Amino acid sequence: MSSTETATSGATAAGGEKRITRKDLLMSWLIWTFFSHSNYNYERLQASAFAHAMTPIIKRLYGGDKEQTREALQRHLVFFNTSPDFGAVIHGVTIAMEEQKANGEEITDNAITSTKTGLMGPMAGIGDTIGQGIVVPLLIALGISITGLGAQVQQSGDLTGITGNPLGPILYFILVAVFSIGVTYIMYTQGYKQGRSFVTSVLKSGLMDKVILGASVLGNIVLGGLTAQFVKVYVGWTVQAGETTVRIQQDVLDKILPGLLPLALVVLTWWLLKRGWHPIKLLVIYVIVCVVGAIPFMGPQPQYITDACGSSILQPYGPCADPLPPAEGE
Amino acid sequence: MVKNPKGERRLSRGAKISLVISTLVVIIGIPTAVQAMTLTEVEPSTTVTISLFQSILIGLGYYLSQSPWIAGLSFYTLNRPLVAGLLVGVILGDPGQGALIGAAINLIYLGFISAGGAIPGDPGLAGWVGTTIAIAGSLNYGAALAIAVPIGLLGTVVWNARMTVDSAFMHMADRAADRADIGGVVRANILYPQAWLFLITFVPVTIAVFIGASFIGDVINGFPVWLLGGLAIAGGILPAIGIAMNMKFIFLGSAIPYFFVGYLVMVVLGNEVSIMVLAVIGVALAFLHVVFLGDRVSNASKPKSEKLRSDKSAESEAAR
Amino acid sequence: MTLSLVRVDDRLIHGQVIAVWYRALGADVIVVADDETAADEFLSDVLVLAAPAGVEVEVYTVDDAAARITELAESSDRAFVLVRSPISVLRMVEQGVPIPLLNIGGMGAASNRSKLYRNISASASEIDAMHALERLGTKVEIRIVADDSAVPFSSVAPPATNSNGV
Repeated sequence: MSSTETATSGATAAGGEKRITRKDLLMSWLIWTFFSHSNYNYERLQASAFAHAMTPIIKRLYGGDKEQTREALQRHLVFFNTSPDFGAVIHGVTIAMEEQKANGEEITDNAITSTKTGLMGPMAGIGDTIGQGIVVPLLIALGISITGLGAQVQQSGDLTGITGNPLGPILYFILVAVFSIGVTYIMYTQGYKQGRSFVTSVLKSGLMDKVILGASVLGNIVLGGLTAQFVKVYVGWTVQAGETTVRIQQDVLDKILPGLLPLALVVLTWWLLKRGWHPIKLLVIYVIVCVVGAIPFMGPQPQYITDACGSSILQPYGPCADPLPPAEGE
Repeated sequence: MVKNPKGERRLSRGAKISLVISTLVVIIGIPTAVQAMTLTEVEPSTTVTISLFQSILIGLGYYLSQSPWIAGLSFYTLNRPLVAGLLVGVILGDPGQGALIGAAINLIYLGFISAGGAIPGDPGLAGWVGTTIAIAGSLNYGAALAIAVPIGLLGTVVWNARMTVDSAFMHMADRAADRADIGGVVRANILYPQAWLFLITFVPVTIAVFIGASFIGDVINGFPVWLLGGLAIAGGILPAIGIAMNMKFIFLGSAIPYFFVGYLVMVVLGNEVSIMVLAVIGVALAFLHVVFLGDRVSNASKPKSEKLRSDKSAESEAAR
Repeated sequence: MTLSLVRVDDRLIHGQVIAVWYRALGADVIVVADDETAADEFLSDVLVLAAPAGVEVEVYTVDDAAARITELAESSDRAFVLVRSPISVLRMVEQGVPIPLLNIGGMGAASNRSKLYRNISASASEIDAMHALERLGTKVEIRIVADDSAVPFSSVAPPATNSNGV
């Protein structure tokens, strides 16, 4: 596909209408599918990938004409950035416009460019929300669930020698591939066939809104489940009140609502992110809080990871064991 | 050449690097010092040594996770710790263990999203190198998650180096276009950026994994017990960030209550129910929700569009 | 003051704008002020229709937008204004629209633009427009994503259009 010289594959020497063949369209689609982020850069993001994806089209429509080839290449080397899957509709629409232009219709460079730039933002908004925001996390959650990590975390954090189910990542790979390639293909071909009206008809149908709404409901349920399964906060702090030892976790917090802390932590994290806190900053802060929370300043040094009860603020893995911590390996 | 960009970018990268170093100091430096002073007895860990050949495969894997060669799917697949973990497991001879550790690390990056070319940490590096260290050092779940944090942060340095230098290839594409040279544009989109990417991904990761993975595993295993406990606590807390990052996108409007529904179902059923089962319940509820509320929501934007388009465009709308 | 923010962004409305800025600002309506988009019914339709449910978008030419923004300033609705170039903003300010703060969020490289700061580029006339805006009392600052801290235009502004050295 990287044939070097322009003139070699002109192919449309005959007069009359210049038509994009199905093969050209598929070739363009394949190039975009593979190389959309090959030369991702701060200056113009996916610009060279867009031009690259247009090369089969340019060869077919303008092959042999050096001036038109140059103009077309330059036209498609402008700033471009969109969601690689849903945004592929822009390529379909652009190819249709290029075809009309090559056949003498009044379509200016500016019209093509402003269609591209006008569509790339909205399509990135929809595509990122559905793809990166909903489908991928959902499928990842399923994949994680299939590996069996959830059950493991309930027992102990020691993963040594434990074998997860490799089917989790494999199934995730297959599903996400079907989603991504399928969406890109439909967007590319329908965008070309129906042109601009495909975009407006899909948007006007309200289908996208419904998909996003339904998927958000599903996504929220799964996130709630993941919170219960994987987010664990146990307070190991005990307070001596006269004769009795008050364990903050079991005797206070669990009395209010079991699992209150993990839920509060997730909602707090969401709120901080929403307020503009950077996730990396939070990750670093949380690691430091965990380490500080584990310092055994109130009691003896733990001999095993699990027997920190009473000596540090936070307690690993589970609430303080009732009589004596079981002698488990670390 | 990485330092090409102007002022602030260099500064922010400097800030990131200092953040990485300070994190490493906290995670590795202080405890080792404490360790040296307290001299707690720690049983020697059962570390797996990593051969040069395995390091090369892991380096290649990380390159592939950023490359276009897997039908452009890398960003959704090899770049995710879940998949990277399995592949590292295959390379190190324990696929099941790798899948499990990868799944754990992926919890932090559950809501990972790249928009407009910016990434909050690199799940790819965290997945490939994090899983390697975790397997090599037989780390516990929490320690695996904690080590993945600074590694993912280092990954943003690689990402920035790539995004910055690739701008130069844009200008090569421009010059090729001026010559009407289609092949030149193609080369500028594939050949040079991929060569550069290979250089900044394969080489450092291969070297780092070969020299450092077992070593870092040993260092972590040498931590005093209370600190290992701290990392174990992190294992329970860090997933909150991955989950909350995703909530930023979907914890909105009428979908909000369902988060608590999912949480309560899981708590009440005592974690007996798998996410798969929860998802099936979720699909049913989502269907009902859309049937009863979907029209109201999607129609909401329609009349508005009619309203705002001025009269003349409304006419042409009618004419169509 | 009910004008919450004016932002220059090539892509006008996209994911970042909705997910981060619009929600963080608590805006009631997004006003897109762009002659080209307003002239193209298809493109304005797409902007309106592609906005997530509940997000209100209005598309105007720059001149119509100036009138609309002045009108909004008197109501209690909070408006978030998106334009493609600082030149449009200057036009609005010259028509008497009070704009205290201008956010430069996305100005990609183009043949007539040179690099201003990170991935923000500007043409000579755009830089002149930003200087003029500062003189007229509009604070111009570069802030690409909400996570970034704001960089005042004056600190990176070249007198000429060429790169700023540091």
